[in-house]
Amino acid sequence: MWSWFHKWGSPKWFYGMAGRCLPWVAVATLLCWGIGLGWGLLVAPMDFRQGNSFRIIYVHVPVAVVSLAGYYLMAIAAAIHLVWRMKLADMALKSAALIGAALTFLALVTGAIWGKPTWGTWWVWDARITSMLVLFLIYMGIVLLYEALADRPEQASRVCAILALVGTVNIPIIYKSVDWWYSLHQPATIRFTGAPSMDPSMFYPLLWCIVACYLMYGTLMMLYVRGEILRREIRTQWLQDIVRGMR
Amino acid sequence: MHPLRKQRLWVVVFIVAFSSLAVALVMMALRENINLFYPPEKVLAGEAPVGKMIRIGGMVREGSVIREAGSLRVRFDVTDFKGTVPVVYEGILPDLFGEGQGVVTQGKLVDGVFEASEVLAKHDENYMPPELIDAMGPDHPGPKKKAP
Amino acid sequence: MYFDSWQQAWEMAGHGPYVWGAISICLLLFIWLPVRELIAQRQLLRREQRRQQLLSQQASMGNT
Repeated sequence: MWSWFHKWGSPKWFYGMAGRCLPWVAVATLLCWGIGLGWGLLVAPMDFRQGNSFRIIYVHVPVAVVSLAGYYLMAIAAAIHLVWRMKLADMALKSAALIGAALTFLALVTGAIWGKPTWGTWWVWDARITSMLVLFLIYMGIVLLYEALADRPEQASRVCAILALVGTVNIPIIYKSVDWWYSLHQPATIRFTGAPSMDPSMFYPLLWCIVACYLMYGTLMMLYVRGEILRREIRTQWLQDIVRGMR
Repeated sequence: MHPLRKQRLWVVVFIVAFSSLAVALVMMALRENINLFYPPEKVLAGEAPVGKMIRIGGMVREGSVIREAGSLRVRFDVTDFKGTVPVVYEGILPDLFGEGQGVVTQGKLVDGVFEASEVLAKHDENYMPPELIDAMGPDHPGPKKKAP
Repeated sequence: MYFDSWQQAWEMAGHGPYVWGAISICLLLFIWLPVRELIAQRQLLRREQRRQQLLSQQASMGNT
C-alpha cells in the first residue's frame, strides 16, 4: 500500500506513466464524444414537451456531473497535500481547479441557454443554480490565488488546499438542492436507485457523453499535471535528460 | 503514522467539520429564504407576505386558462392539489406553459389574486419521445401540436 | 437520422441556435483547454533545449 502511495508521489513516475497513457485516453475521449454527441444530436428522438431544445442535456449533464466529481478529486488532493506535503497532490490540485472552473462555467452557460427556451429565462436565483455559481467561484478563487501567490508557491498551495477543503461543504448542497428546497430546476433524471426517468433511446447517448466527459477529464488532468511537473521541475536531472534526448 | 502528519490530518478534519457546521447553521437560519417559491398551500395558510414581491409555484389547473380576447392578458389557477391561487398575467408566456404543467410565477398577492409580472415554466425530470407518448393513447398528456 | 435533412437538423424546429450554440461553446473550450497547454509545454521544452545547446557550446569553447 505504501509503495503504491510513494509511486504516485513521484513526479518522474507520473510523468512517464501519463505520457504513455495520454494518446490512448485522448483517442477514447474523442471516440466517445463522437458517438455520444452524434447519437444524441442527430439520431435520438426529440422530447415530447421540450422538443429539440432538450438535446442540450448531452453537454449540460456531462459537464455538470464531472465538475462535481472533479471536486472530490481536488479535495482529496488538497487533504493529501496538507497532511503529507506531497508535491504531486499540489500539482493535481492546481490542475483540477482550472479544469473544474472550465467545466462549471460550461454547466452554467449551457444551463442558461437551455433555460431560455424551456423555463422562459436565462437565469434565476434558485438553490441549484446559485450553488453551482458558488462552485464556480471556489474553483476560480483557487485558480486566481495560485496566480496571485505565484512568487510564494509554498503558501499558495497551502491556502488553496484549505480553500478547497472548506468548499467541500458546497458539494452535498448542490446535489440535494433540488430536493431540499422548492426550486425551478427539475430533480435528477439519473438516480443511483431505480431506473432513469428517461427513455432508453435518449438515455444511451447521454451515458456515452458522460463517459466521454470523464475520459476527457482524465486526459486533461494528465496533460495539465505533466505541464506542472515540467514547469516546476525542469531543472531536475531526469527532465534535463529527457530534454537532451529530444534532439 | 508520523506524529506531525497525524496532527496535520486532524487539522484537515477540523477544517472540514468546522466549515460544514458553519454552513449548516447558516442554512438553518435561511431555510425559508432559499426556497425559490411558495406553494399555493402556504400562500392560503397566510405564510406568504401580502403586497410584497414573491414567487409562487405549482401546476396550472386543467381547464383554468382563460385568455382575454385582443390582449396578452391571461388568467389561470396555480394549484398544488392542496390549495389553489388565481393568477392574472399580461405578457408573453414561455413555450412550455400549458394546462397541467408546472409553473413558477413572480408577482404580488393583492386581495387573494396573484398579479404576476413574470411567468416561468417548470418542467419535470421525465424525457420521452413524442412517438412513445402517441402510442400510449389519448389519456396521456401528449405533445402539444404547435404550428411551425 | 431523426431529422429528414441536414437543413432540419440545423434548424431543429427553431431550437437550432440554442442547441448548436451550447454545443459549439463546449467544443470551443474542449479544444482550447488542451491546445493552450500543449503550446505552453512545447515552448518550455524548446526554451530548455536552446539553453542546453548554449551551455554545451560555451563548455566546448571553454575547452579549446
